[in-house]
Amino acid sequence: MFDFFDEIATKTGLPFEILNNGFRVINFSNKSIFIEGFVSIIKFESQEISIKLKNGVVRIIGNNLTIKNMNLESIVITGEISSSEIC
Amino acid sequence: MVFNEQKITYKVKGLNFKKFLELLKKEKIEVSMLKRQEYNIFYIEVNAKNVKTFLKIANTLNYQVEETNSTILLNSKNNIKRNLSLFICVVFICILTVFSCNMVYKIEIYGLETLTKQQVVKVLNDNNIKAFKTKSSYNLNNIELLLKSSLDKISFASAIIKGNTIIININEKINNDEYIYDYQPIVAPYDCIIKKIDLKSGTVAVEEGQTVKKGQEIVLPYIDYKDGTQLPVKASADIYAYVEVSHTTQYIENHTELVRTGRKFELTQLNLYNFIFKKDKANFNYKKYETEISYTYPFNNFILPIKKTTITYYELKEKSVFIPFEKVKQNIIEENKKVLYNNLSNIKNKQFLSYISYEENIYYITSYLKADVIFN
Repeated sequence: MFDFFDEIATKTGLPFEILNNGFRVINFSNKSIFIEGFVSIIKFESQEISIKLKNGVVRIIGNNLTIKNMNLESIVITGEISSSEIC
Repeated sequence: MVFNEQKITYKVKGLNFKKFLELLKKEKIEVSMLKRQEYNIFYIEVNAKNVKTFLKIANTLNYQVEETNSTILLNSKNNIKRNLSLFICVVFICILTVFSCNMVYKIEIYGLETLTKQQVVKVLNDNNIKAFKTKSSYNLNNIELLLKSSLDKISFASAIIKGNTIIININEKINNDEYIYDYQPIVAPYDCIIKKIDLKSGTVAVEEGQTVKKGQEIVLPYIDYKDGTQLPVKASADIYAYVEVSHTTQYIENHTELVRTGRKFELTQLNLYNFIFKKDKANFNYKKYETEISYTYPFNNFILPIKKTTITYYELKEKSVFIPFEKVKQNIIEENKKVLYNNLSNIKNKQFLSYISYEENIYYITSYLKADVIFN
């Protein structure tokens, strides 16, 4: 995982501290979304889930959306994801 | 080894889920499989260890909570499935334990004296009684009977199963031939005539009225069987006999006696055990002498085991003495009587007689003791 973010940091030219202190959202082929650095859940319905991040909001739209796992730092959402946007 | 966490699924009914989820996050409660079925109903899986806090938060928000599914047992099953090898091992060990408890691994034999262990083991092996069989396959009574019938030297055998071992205790027969009978016959202590024999055990070898010599066997230490064999027994009987014994003493009225002249010589020597380290010279020239020896331990208080031996040599000279016979006659008879009585025991109906004869300046005093005696 560290190699992965190191590579991203290298390719984007951003310092690792910025990458590490913010949030991370990883979409696995619209089957599952892994979010790290979330603050709270703004909206939670089976068709839409909105999550407040440290520096923004991620909005996931789809069907049968489920919070697969949620702990202090990260959250995993599964279901038939049709779109996800970060703003 | 990986074990799934035990999880419980709850159906939660209420409003304002955002706040509920925030509180769960604040309390660091990890949740999973969060599904919103309706606007006021959602399903949530909680770790078993967090259930108490979860319910407390739900209660605070006046939520209706209903347990719908528990994965505790399911996870246990999953664990078993995932650890199938472990499960098989456990089952195998259980079977092995039960199996091994019912096995005999060792046969121990105790109490052997003249027999060897190999002899007993051979008998057992010949009859297919070996270790590494189930306990139920052994018939302990048969083992006991088999050993007794197969080995003549065994008088008693017992077999027990203790743990995984068959313990066989053996008592061997006492071999009578090994005993040496030390029974002695009753012999005549002196020449006598047998009057009566009260036999207690043994075999009488003489007849009543028979004269026996000293040392002759009167009662033999065995019993004769009709088949010609003899059983050794202790010879025991009260034997009544008539005995005549005599003792003669000679006496001469004129005789010489050796008397001390009054001269003496003392010779001392010091011994340390058998070693003589100081000895005086015997510097005297007595023709006839007698000695007296005395011992003292001069260093007795100082532990040193030095012995002082003092030998006193008294010079003797011959002196003619005349003592009339009449003066000593009674003493001689009494001496004879003592000698005769000392030879006999359990005397009854005794008769003591003494005869005196004189020949060539010598008096012969012969005493007779005639008596009934009992010996055994």
